[in-house]
Amino acid sequence: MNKSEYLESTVKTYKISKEEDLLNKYKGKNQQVKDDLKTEYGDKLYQPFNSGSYAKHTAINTRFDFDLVAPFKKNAFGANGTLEDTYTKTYDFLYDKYSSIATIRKQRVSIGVIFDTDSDGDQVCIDVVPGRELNQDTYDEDKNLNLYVYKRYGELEEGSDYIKTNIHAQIENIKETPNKDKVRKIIRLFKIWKTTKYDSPIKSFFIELAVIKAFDKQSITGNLWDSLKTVIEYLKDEVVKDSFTLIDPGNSNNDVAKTLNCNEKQWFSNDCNNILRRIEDNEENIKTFFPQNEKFEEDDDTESNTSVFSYGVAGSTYTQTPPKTERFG
Amino acid sequence: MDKKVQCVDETISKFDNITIISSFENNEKNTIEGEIIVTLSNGETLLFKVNIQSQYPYDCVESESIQFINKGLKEYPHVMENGRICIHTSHETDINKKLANDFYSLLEWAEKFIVRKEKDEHYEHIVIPSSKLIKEGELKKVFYFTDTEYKFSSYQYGFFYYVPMSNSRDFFSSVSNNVIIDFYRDNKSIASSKWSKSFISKGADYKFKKGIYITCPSPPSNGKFGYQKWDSFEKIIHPKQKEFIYNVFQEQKKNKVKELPLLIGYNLPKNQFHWQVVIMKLDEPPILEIHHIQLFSSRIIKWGETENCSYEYFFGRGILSKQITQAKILVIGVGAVGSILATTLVRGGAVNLTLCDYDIKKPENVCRSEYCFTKGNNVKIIELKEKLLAISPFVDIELMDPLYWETKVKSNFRSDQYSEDENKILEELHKYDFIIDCSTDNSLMHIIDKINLTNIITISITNKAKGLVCACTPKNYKWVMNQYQNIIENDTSDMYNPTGCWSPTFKASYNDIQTLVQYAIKQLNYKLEKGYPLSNFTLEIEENNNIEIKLKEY
Repeated sequence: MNKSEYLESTVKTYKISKEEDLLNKYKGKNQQVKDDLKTEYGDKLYQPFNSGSYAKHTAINTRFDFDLVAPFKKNAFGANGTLEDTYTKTYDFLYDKYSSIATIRKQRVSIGVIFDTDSDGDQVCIDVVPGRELNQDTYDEDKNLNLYVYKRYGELEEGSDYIKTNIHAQIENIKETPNKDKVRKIIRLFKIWKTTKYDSPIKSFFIELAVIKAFDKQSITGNLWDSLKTVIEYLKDEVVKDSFTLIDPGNSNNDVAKTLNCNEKQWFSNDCNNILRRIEDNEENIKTFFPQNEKFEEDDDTESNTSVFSYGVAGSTYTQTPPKTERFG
Repeated sequence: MDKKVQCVDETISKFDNITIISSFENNEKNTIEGEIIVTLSNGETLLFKVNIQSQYPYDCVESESIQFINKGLKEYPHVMENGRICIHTSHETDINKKLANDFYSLLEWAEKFIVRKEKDEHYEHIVIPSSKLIKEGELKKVFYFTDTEYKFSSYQYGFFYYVPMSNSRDFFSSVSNNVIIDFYRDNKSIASSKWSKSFISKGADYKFKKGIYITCPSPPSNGKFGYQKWDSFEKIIHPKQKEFIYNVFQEQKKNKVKELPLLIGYNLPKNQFHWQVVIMKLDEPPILEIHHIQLFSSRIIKWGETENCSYEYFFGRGILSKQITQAKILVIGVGAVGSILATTLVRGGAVNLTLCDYDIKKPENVCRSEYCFTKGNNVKIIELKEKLLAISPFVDIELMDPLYWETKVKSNFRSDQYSEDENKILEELHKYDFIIDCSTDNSLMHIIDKINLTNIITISITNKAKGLVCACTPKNYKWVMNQYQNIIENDTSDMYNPTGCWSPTFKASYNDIQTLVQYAIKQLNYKLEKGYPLSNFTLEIEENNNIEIKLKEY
């Protein structure tokens, strides 16, 4: 088995372009919300733009992630308008505009617009992130924004209800990384691995920064498997160290490594160790940790695969020997 | 001179504070007997009769085969009713060293409890005089009690109800085993024993019997020994309690009841409550009325036995983690793996289990599962329920419709759009903290994957129990199939296929299966106890001159 080829083909099965129809629906709704915001707020709003994994080219097609940043001017809601006004007024607008066709939900820093399921059974969700420039007319220059942290989900310390960020810097961070194609593939592979875990506390942003850091700190060469292996080895050893930090490129005071507690870091390190050891034991285990998206799986005519289905299917010959997949107990 | 006697004399001669006053001699029973005087550091002297049995220096029936006896010291800690000092020294096969250790331990005991008057922190129950227990050939009554929500206080009284659970034997007599169900006062239940509902409803097949209880401010004992005669009770009983016992006794006499148990309850340290039992014979009234004054008689008390079966005490020697014991668990498939798993959970303190299986147990299942031959061909879940309730009085066992998964779930979950029935099924299944699938049914595993149950654990083994596959994260169908297909050894070419049987089965003994299942439960218990997330794992048996089990976590 060529592990690198397998990983390359796995990543392909998760390309968002594979879900063309759904992607087009997302793009359409995304544009609609962008246009409606612009029409409503005109000059008070800078050009809304996409962030998140779609913008960073790290999305996988089992879970679409469309974040739409709405950068408001400092005085968009009056000279005395607060950051909270920016958030709540945007929520009110989205509610008035879409509540008849979508569920509007207040989230940690964004407002979720979850459009009703359409006749194909598809559901489009756009997370609108209202932000406000730090000082009047400075956004064009520095791209800095303050985001309101809706308290119910707030993770910040008591009394702190906003977070400063620079989403452009976050997006640029990946774009500027050498080997960006490989970095993106490895980020996608980690996201694919995450789909096999239940209720993982690891945030996508953590994965992105951690992989970029591994590339930054290690000499990563070779094919996709070699590179992935080096990244996993690095994270296995480093993530548990007190000195391990993941500085948010949009806010140097934000250490994303702290989104995992000590136990969670240890578990992540154990997971990394298990991935390496099990693939070392038997390379077929790579399919366990990085399963292909069944929906877009390419036909594989290997012997092992065909024998799974050769027992008990219509037309097959009855045999006294049960198949290998017969479990006992 | 006998060599052993010589050793005893020589050893004692080395102790300045021990003097032989009656020389040691070997008697007809090959027991060495003699008497010594021990001089303590405070100048006090103590006389001990010393018996050294023929087994010495080995111990005998978990006791030392040397005995130091002084009946005058019975009130001191670690002294038996016959005045024997209860000492335990470490195992030693050299008779001289052993003798030195034992005499030294006697001195240590005397210094600690007589000179320094130390008390043990550890509470010991009162000793019921063995001579006052049921005699050989008589029926011994044992009462099993457990905690109640209700907190008893001193000087309460009323009736209690119990059910005879079984009859058994000890070495001297037949034993009647009785379970205390609840306590009444003025025809109202004031305290119910915390047995499981399943256990109590099983008891309901028997006839409830009635006894009386009183609660006292202290144990019914002089020091550490239980009262010998009824009149000692005057010290701890309230006149109203006495009147109650007297009246009930008279009433029962009319009903021609031959005997009546009397429970005596009292507080122990650490907020525990304990019961002792006395069997009142109707022809031997404990209370007499003389000139309208009720007085306890001077008759000898007939003590019964009680056993504390509080949940904590019952599982005190070993219990699984709370995350398992307090969870509501559904076990699907109770063949070899499932029945071993369910039994282990119940022995480990699990209190809430539901079983589901549509299979009938046959004799050939017995050799590697938890079923019994004597129960014959039997519905597996019915037989297992009975067995589990016989193990733990704290477990509630429900039986799920045997075809629930086959007819309801498999036929309902065919599309991605949930129907009302599907939502109802999901609601039912979400009641469980864990669903443990031991059915080995690949179709079932697939459907469970589809309905996205998050609390599912799937356990199965390979032919010849060379390996075990345990998946405990949701959506595990692909992972399990990949294990069997590509990773773990599962040689299905050599199956057990007896004459006349249409379907071959796997080969593995009870030992093979137990070994793997216990390891898997230990791993799950460890993770849950530590608060770690559960991960899929496999166990593989490796044979390299020895047997090794390798755990591979994913």
